[in-house]
Amino acid sequence: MSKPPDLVQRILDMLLLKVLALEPMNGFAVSQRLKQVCGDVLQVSDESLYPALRKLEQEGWITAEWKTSEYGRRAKYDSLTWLGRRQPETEADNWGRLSSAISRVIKLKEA
Amino acid sequence: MRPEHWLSTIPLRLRSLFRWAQADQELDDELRDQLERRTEGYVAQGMAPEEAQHRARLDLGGIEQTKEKCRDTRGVNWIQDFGQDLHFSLRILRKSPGFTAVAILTLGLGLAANTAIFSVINGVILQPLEFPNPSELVAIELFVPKLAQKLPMVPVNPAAYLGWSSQAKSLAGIGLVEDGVTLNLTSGGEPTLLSADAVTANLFDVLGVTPFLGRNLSPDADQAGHNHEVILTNALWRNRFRGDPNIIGQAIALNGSPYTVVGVLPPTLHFPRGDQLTAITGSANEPEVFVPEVFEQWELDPGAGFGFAAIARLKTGVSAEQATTELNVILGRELGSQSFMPNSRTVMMPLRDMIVGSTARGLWMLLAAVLAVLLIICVNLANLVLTRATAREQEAAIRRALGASRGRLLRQTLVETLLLGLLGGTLGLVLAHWALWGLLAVAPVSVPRLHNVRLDSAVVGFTLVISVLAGVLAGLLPAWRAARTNPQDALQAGARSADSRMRLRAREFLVGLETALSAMLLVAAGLLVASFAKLVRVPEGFAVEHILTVNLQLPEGQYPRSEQRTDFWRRLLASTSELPGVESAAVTNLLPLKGEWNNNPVNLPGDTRPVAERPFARYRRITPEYFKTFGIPLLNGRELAWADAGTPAVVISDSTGKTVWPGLNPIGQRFDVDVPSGFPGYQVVGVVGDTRVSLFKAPAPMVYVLYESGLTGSLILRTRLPATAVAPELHGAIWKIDPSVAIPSISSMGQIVSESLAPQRFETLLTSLFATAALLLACLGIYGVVSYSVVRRTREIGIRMALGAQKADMLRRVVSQGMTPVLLGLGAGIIGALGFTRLLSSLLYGVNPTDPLTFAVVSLILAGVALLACYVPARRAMRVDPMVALRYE
Repeated sequence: MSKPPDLVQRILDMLLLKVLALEPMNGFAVSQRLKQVCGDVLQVSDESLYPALRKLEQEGWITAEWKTSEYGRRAKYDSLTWLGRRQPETEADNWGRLSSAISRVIKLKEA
Repeated sequence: MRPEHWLSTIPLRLRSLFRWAQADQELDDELRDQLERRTEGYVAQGMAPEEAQHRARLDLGGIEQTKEKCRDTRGVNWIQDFGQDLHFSLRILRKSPGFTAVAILTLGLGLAANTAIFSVINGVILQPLEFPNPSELVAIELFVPKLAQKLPMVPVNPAAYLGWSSQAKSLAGIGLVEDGVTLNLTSGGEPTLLSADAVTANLFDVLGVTPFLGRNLSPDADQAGHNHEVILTNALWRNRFRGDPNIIGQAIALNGSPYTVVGVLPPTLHFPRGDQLTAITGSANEPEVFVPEVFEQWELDPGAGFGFAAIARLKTGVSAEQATTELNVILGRELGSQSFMPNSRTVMMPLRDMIVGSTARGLWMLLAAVLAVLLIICVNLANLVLTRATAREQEAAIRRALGASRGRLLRQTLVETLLLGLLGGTLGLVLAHWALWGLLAVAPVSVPRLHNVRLDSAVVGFTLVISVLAGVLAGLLPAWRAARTNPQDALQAGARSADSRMRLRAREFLVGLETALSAMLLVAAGLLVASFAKLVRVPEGFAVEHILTVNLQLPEGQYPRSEQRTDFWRRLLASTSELPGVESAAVTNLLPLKGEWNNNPVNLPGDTRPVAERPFARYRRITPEYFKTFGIPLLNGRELAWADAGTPAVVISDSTGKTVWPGLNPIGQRFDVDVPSGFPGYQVVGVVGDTRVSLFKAPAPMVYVLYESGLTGSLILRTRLPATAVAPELHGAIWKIDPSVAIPSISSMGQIVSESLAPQRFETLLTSLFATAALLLACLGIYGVVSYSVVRRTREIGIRMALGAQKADMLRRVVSQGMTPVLLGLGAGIIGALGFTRLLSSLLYGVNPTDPLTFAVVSLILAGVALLACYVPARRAMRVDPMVALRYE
């Protein structure tokens, strides 16, 4: 049906879903958490983070609600839907297959 | 995407669509929140508050762009965008009423012309016939190799018909039509000559016609003695019998005999004319009554009676190929014994194709021509939009800077032209109403199924589609250009960048395109005009001026004996030639240009060749004054006289003498028309000049036999008086001899010539009209581009002039720059025309489709007009005052 989305985009989607699987978070916290986990290896700019989050919302994988944060500030918290909970598994599956395929290609010895 | 997933996203989409303001507000809040947190973070790291804010903004990569990206994820954004584009386009169009009016008006005119031509094509060619299951109906003719040179297709004869109708299993039914029967109706008013078809009893059942009143012909109506039944068309029933519902069962007098009216056809049924049912020339009148066909004994001979149009209905599921194969087998059995028939084949074609016939090609050509005009209109519109795009460069740049994607700008321009296309289409539909009315008024009556032409849903659909296409075509290039706007370049004030040079290149391409299109149209029109001019100047071989003709028919019942008929015609000629203003009078059985029938062999004594290989000539019956009346010169021997009645004396035309007796004096030669010949048949006593039986064919060999005692005849009068002045006297003279003779309207020979040229005149007139429109539009396009480039270069020209450039040099530069795309387009157009004019060859008479003169004249006209369109703005550029030019901008 839909054509496979661009590889980088899929990686980002999977990362976001994994991060949000821990607990509902707002966008800022997501970006902080990503920075903690990936360090400087994967830099996700705010510029691509927000469109990606909103895309996941439109796919029905995450849902957003406005909550008051621990510092008394109102913020939008994203959490996984039941559809979204299943999605990381599929994505991780895909990812596993893709990465093993890639590593097989990279490890190919010249005959 | 999995279906259930897709389903679950629907509420999300709906929310985005209907609660978009709220969604946008949330997006706003979220991003603002992000900015604040980020700023706080940077401040905490020890940055100055202002720098921290700046860094946070940079991280977000342009707030508006990021917002737009987020909006794009909603998936329904395009609906909103489209609404916005539409709204914006309407505002833009309202703001420039001049441009909008010109665009809608030209598109409207172009689309109206297309709609009108297409509705004719739709009604005539595309709509199915008005019979039930029309795709099963086929027309059948014979292909006889030995006759192929003289007659490409031969109508069916009764022997073949009887074989097929009794044996063929692939046919649900087959019927025959003999067209061109004339019947003198003497009941219910003044005697009237009716056009009639004699049909086999089952014909209307084969066609599936349910009568409006009464019934179809009874099954045995085509047996001798049972044949006095008649079916009326709805029009005749309403006009002549005032729609009398009690007409069924009553007897009416046809040719002096009583016929019982058994049925009236439905008002919607238009029975095809004779000339639409066979490939050979048939009757050009719509039949008004139908009587049963009774075959005469001689017609049943397998080698005779080839004069019937055959209409068959295929059994459901049987293909035309299968049926043809079966009919061929039967044909071989029934007619195989005939020496001229070997390898004869059945030719079957859909009845609709037969009826539409050769008209189709002319109509398709007209549609191609009018589509080309529309294309030129689109090109001009694209040009206009490009010019406006220059003025709106800033707008595009600002939109880009504010986050509009290239696709968005592309869409905006397309929506604008699409809107123009649809508005033009609406106007076009309104105008098409009148265009169609005008078109039908000038359309020749020979175009079949004109009654079927109307603005129906298919036509409206067509107009809608080409309106959208026109809008897209006009917008494609400008939209592509707009999308390539570089915001930085455009925002720098006064930057006349490489971009506008690109835009000029785009416009030059458009000029080349429209020049090529108009060149092709002009070539087509030029060829048709040249062909028509040749046709008009064709020497007919007979006088056209001062000739009046009227067709008469004697009621058979009252003139059973030939002496009575001879007496009538002689008295008629004696009294009409005495009428005031009449110089001479004659009678013939068939007027020139009114048909090519009676094409029969010239059999020489001792000729052993098969009939098909013998010379043929058209046999015509004439009275003595015929040659004098028509001004046909006597070349040798003498004319016919009344005293020749009952003798073998005949007159032949020059070409008959030259083909039949080459190198010999034809006077005194003997021949016969009958096979087998019963000599002495005919003896040549005179030779006259050649005449044409059709304006489109070289003069055919003719044999003139004395007219003595026919039932039908055409009276020919040479008079300088108009028809209206002669009519009352003529009626009086005829009715003095016999008041029961019907007198149809008088037509001049000029009218007959004009009618036979009507299809060519129609095609030539319309194509020339379209070509002229194309030429004017192309001129406007060229003028627009050159004057645009002059205005753009006012400053450059001013500097050059100030530095001492000669006016003549500048003029040459501007003109040659303007003419380059024109000449390239002209070249392309000529090459294109060389490719397609072959398709026109069947519409041309005496003109080669690659006629060098036409091509040269068209090139000269187009180049000349284009030169003028370049020269005018170039002249204006020369008057530029260098001081003013330098201050320009």
